[in-house]
Amino acid sequence: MLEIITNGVGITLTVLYGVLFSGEFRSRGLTRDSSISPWAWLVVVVHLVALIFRGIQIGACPVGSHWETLSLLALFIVTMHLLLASVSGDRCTLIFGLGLTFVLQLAGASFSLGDQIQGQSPNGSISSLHAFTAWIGVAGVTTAGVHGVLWLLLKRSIKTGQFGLLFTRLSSLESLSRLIRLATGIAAGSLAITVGTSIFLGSGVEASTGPVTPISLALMGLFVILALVPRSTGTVTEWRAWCSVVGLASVIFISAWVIQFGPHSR
Amino acid sequence: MRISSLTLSHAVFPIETREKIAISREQAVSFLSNLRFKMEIENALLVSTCNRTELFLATEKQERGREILEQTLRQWMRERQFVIPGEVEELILEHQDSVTRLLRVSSGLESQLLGESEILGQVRSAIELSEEAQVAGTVIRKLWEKALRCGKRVRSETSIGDGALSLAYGALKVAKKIHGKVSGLHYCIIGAGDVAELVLTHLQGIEDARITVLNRSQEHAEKIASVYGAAQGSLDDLADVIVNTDVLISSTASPHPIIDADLIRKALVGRPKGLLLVDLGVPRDIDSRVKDLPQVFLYNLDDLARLIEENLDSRQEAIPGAEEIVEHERQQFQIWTVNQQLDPIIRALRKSIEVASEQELELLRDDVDGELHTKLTDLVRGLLKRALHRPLKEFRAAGSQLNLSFLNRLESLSQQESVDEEDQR
Repeated sequence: MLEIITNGVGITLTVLYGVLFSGEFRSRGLTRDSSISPWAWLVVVVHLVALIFRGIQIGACPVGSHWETLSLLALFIVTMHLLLASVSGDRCTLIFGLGLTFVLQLAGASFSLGDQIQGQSPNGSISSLHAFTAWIGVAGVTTAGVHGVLWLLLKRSIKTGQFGLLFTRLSSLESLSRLIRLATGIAAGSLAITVGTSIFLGSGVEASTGPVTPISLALMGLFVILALVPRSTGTVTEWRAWCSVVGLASVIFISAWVIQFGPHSR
Repeated sequence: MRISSLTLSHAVFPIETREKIAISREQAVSFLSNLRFKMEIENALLVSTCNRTELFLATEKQERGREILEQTLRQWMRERQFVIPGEVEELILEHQDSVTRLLRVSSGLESQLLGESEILGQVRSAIELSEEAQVAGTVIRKLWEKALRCGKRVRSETSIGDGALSLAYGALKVAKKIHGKVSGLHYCIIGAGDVAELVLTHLQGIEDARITVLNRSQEHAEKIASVYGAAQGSLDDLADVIVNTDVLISSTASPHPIIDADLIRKALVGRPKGLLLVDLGVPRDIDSRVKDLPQVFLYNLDDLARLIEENLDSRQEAIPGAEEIVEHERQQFQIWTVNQQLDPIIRALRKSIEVASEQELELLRDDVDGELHTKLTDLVRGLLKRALHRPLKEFRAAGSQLNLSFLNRLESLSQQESVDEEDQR
């Protein structure tokens, strides 16, 4: 019975994120209001409750299956985008966060609930917690990467005089520069949580021999440096944007690796 | 008189070609004077702006006007080293199209930014060149007056000029995309002409805007800067001013770029923010290689026009109304030109009828007494006046619809009658 409910909630969440995405797409053309709709927060709360129920259902952190992992990643990404929009007062990038969330939910819905990721089955609370925090890191770097890509695209759009969708929808290089710094800060913090929990819970985590751990450590170092460098709209932001894009490419590689081979395989 | 025109505008030529075609005030006066002395042209109007060079001539024969314009275009192509995309003939318009063209130009219907207001001022000042070169004849002056009237009517009676769509508006929109705001920025305006003044007008309402006007002639810079509360300097200060500038807008009449890549490269050293350069000059004031430098965003007239075109929906809706006004004014001008031809014909017809009646009355002089003859003369004059009034009024009203060859026949007929009368005398 609980499984049917979880399935239903999973599909409903996908639809809700689709509705939020299309609503954001339409409203940004009409208004410059920076406030975030309470409906967005409500959907996030429903999403969180659904994953907690899923955890109760399987008796562990919901990070063992493809559906759970993608849905958890979607929740982290949308939450980080909403937090960024709230803190900065600029929600021009929220539509891209919602779009990514919708795609992840849709991808997750294509897997069955019991479709497990190899080697990531939650066989203990410590390894579950580690996997849980690892996906926070992935979400943080993804958020920074999305902002990095958008900054670079907007810069290119202004530089070459292409006045398309990005030029119209994105606020400004200055504002994106502020967002990208906040996003790299979030990425550095989330990676620190990931690495910190793995060190703290070291005894309970499977020995790491694959590329995931060194890449994660390198990314943490990179993003901590990026978060500390002062903000500017000049070359510093350009470097920050490119590093975020490298981070995004890295987490795409890590995610593909984890889904295909498991988190700590060689 | 027939109007002919040569049209070289942004619709056909990119900015790289337009800057070769652009004509300075001195060159324009000299060119128009040459038309007068070498081609015996007394009616000519040259509208030369950053987006167009258009020459209007009024000649007795249409072919003559076309021939002069073809010669002119070929000469310019040779001297200024540019080519046209099609045939020479395609850029030359005949009477009706030429009249419509000038009316549309002054109405902003042919502007790169639909309905922009600068063009009306530029058409207004074009007659000064014709006056200076002594080619501001009656016909071209009348056409110029019609163009100004038409431009004013289109702007006041339609919504074509609504909204803040101008090059300055476009520049500020890009500035906002880069810096996130337009207030509190440092603006540097190079040049002190009409365009610079227009830009300054737009910058007036911006909160905490720091504005510096630089110009070759410091006297002009001082004058314009004092009006708009800006700082001022000479072009020699450019290297120092540009270091702290966020938005630089240049609109000088310099034939060569005044800002090169080296100058900007030096200004970028240690600069934390982007630099927006807006080049409103034709020929361009800023070396196009500057665009390749990091942190620099270079925009010229064509770039800004493309940006603003996307916001033209409300103005597009006003086009049919504007075109109706243009058509009305074109018809009025046509009536005026035909009346110019009709007036001598009507005068001659009236005169010949009056002379004939006087002659007939003279034959009666011996048969009636003086008092009765005077009364008869008054009667005939009054009768003629009343009888001719309505037909001649209709004749005038239908002037624009009358066939040219018919008018020529009438003209020759009246001339013939005048000759006959003189022979009889």
